[in-house]
Amino acid sequence: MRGWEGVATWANGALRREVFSFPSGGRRLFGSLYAPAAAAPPWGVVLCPSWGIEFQELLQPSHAFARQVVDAGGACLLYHPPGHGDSGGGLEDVSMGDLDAAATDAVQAAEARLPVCRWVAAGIRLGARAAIHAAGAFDSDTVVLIQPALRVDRFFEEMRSRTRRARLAAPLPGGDDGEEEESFGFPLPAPTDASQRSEIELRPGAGWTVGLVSHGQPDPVGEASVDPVVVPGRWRAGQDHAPLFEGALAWLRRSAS
Amino acid sequence: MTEHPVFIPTSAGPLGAIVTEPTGPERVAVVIVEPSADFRFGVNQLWARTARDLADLGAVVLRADHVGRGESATATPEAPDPGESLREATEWFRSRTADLDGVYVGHCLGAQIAAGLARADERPAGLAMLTPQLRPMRGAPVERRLRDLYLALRLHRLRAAMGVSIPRRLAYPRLARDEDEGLVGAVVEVAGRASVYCLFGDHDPQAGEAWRLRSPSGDDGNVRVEIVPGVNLHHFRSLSAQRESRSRVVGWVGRLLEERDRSPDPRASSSTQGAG
Repeated sequence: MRGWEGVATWANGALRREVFSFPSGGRRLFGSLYAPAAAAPPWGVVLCPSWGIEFQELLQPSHAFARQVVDAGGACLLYHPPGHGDSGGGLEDVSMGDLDAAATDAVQAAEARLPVCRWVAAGIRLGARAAIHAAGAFDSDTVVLIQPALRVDRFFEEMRSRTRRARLAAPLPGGDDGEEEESFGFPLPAPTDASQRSEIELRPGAGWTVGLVSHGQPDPVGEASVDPVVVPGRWRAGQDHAPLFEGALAWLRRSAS
Repeated sequence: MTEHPVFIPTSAGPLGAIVTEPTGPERVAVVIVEPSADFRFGVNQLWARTARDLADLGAVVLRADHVGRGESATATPEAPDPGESLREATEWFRSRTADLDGVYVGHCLGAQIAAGLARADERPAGLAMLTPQLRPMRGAPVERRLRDLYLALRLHRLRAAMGVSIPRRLAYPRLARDEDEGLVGAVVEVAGRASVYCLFGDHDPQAGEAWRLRSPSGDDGNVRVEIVPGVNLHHFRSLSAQRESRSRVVGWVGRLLEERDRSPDPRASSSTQGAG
């Protein structure tokens, strides 16, 4: 034994950190918990990340957000979805259903670690879809959606457009020679994939409370009671997304008080 | 294969890391170093997958986020050099794997850190650098720096073959000026004790310089340079770049281990043979 176990936690006077893996659909996923060091927090948020290049771009501000949640008295669980980061599986084999199930399993992992905490699912961009799925699975009536991309087909079309722009309108790599299309080094699902059809769309149900944080006026999200937080500016890939996370934190603070 | 998420204590705070452990016998310890702006898992999990492949060969693999980045966000950088906390993390890792030889893999500016870590290792077996940034020697034009590196590597082989000892500052006067801070000095030193592998894509800006590191025979003793045709490896923003990098690095480590296993004296082999 080389002593790799037993060093997965760290704490100082204000912050407790724990890193771990949890099962989801036959894979091991990476989880990272931020919590106050002194007392069990009354509330917590599981942040469901976006896909591919957006997962990576939003990871650093997600850690800053997690730290701010602790400073506000809550706990925060970050996780890497299947096929992303340090989690198991390859992105080429991951379906939308796998991403949705991972969010549910992440909430379960969070509850196992801090059971007295009232956990809320939050999702950013494509992760909003997973957050709605997780909230439904746990009979929660509250969800936080950050610049949500609820239409899977539109999200991947946006990824294709962004990739074409970055390549100065050149064809997507792999797209013309029968190989899989890719976006910034991430394999895109085929447009004919059933999980990308426009009708594959999750909406929060009637009676839910939805914290909706977005640039500009948000699109309607079903019949839920929406509490919008409008952030100045507009969504642009690769920009500083800190204002979105600040909006989400403001909503969570308000909701917890 | 088992993956252990860990926090490694350093003077800057805890570094978040993953240790990948083989299921079978442990044969070598590998440290993978990304540039400080990237994450430990790499684009589309390049380094996470590479670590898993290496574990299948018997490697115990460390991947850590740089201070202030990703899972190391809690750590506070105290100095502009991100390599210092990574050096401490590597010491922590190597203190637990002291019975194994060390292999270091670095990409871009991470290659520079990896070279420094390999140089400091008591049991280095190899250094793999993917699209390394060749740090300029002070005041010297690029062509002269590369020529000096090439000559220094040839001199090093000659010195080893003849068994004579030449003071470093006499043997490599120009390189010695920069040896403490530059990649070039570290490579020369590591090449004296372990295999060095340099990988470029021929669309990489650095690829033109890379060819000049090679001897006419295509293989310069402990230093091997490979250039992958038709691809830009730098930052791995294509699936083909990821596939090439992963398979070639894993293949190189595999050959390194095979050569060592074939040798009657594994320590001697790992320090004198280049993995072809």
